[in-house]
Amino acid sequence: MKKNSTNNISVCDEKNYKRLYNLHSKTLRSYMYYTCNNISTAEDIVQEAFVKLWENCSSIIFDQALFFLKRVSKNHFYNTKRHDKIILKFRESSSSRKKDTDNETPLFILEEKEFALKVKNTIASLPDKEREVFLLNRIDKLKYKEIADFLGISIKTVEKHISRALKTIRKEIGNV
Amino acid sequence: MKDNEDIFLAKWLNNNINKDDKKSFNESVEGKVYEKIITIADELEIPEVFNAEGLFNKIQQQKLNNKKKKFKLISLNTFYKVAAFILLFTSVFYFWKSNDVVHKSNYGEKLAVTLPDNSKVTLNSKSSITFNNKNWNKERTIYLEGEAFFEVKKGEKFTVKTKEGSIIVLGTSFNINSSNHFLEVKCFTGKVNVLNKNKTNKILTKGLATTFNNDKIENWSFDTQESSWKEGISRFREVPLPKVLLALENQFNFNFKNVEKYKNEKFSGVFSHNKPKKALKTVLEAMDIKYTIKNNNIILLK
Repeated sequence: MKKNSTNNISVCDEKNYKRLYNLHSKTLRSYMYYTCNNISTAEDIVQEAFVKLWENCSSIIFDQALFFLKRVSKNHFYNTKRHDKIILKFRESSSSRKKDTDNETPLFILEEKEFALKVKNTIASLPDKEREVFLLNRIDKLKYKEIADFLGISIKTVEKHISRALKTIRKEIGNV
Repeated sequence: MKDNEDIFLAKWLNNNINKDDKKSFNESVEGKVYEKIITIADELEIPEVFNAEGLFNKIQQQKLNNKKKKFKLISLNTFYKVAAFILLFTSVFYFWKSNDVVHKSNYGEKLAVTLPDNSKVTLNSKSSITFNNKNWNKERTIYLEGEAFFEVKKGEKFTVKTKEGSIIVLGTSFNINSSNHFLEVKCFTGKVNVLNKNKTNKILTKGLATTFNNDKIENWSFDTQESSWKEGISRFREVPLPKVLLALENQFNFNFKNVEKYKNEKFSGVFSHNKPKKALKTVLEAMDIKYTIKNNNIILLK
């Protein structure tokens, strides 16, 4: 029933178009960042995808807009063939970390930093799918269901990607 | 079982396992390592914060620019289309025009023209014919202004169009004298169908002639052996004087003044083409009209 009601929504309507942008732009941007690993390229791709969505608005059903955006983005990415190494940064004000490290020795802080760097670098070198899913979950705080919907895969596949990503990171860290 | 093993970490991360399993895993060494990994992963972020409004503005701007580009593209396209159309139109026009053959005779000039089918046209002075060279075999149609003698080869319908009517023949020789509100057709051989602009039909055979003068029709006969304008003698039979004067003008490049007074007069007779003043005298003295000559201007008195 809900699907039927959204089928009549015209993408050509500025209001609906903006709604699609609000719904998908952030996730698409993150997703493209995890794919191409360059934030300005990712944003360019998102921009291009939404412009294309507008140009084809009359032939796109509201519910299929995400599929269209993703496909256009991926195509655009394959065309640019730009593939940098992902760069992630740590949040500036990390209360939990501060609490943990406040009373620790400098050596321990150094070890902690090394540990964090290792985690970061391992994430950067994960296979595309695992990295995409894992970061959509951890950074974008998407639920498994949301990731599954966004990528058009099953929740089980999402869970497999996340488990595999965690195992790979654990393996890279080695003995603690 | 293997499946569950594979997704255990995901389920643990998602708090989707029973309390006992969770507790035992969290207290294990491995569990603590994973906990640490998650803590660190959760502190990661994309280097640049997403400026949703900023990107949306960029998108709106590009949409606008693309629209302009498209508009330009279309207008350029239309420009080319229009240009191509005009080019085509003019070239067709010129092509068409170029197939229109015009023959014109000047004052005192006689012009012999052979048509594509070897039919012959002799133009009296100040007369012209126009026909389409390309369509000639399909349609033998000729436009005449002035006076001309036709010798038409036998064949398909041959049509002479004048302001006052059409002359349709199959193969014959005839003379047409045409001007405004005046049409005279003389048949020398064969058969001629004269269709004036009032759709009045008249079939002429050898030695017969017809005159349309201001909607008045007059049929008469003549001697086909007598000399005509082609031999240098213009011959008139009850022709309105202005038409005779026009013939004099065309022949000798005269310019008559005060013609209106004599528009109802009619002239029967001849004038010769070799001596202008004698021709003038022949016509005007016969009509009892006094006149003076100034250069080539002939002013009629009375």
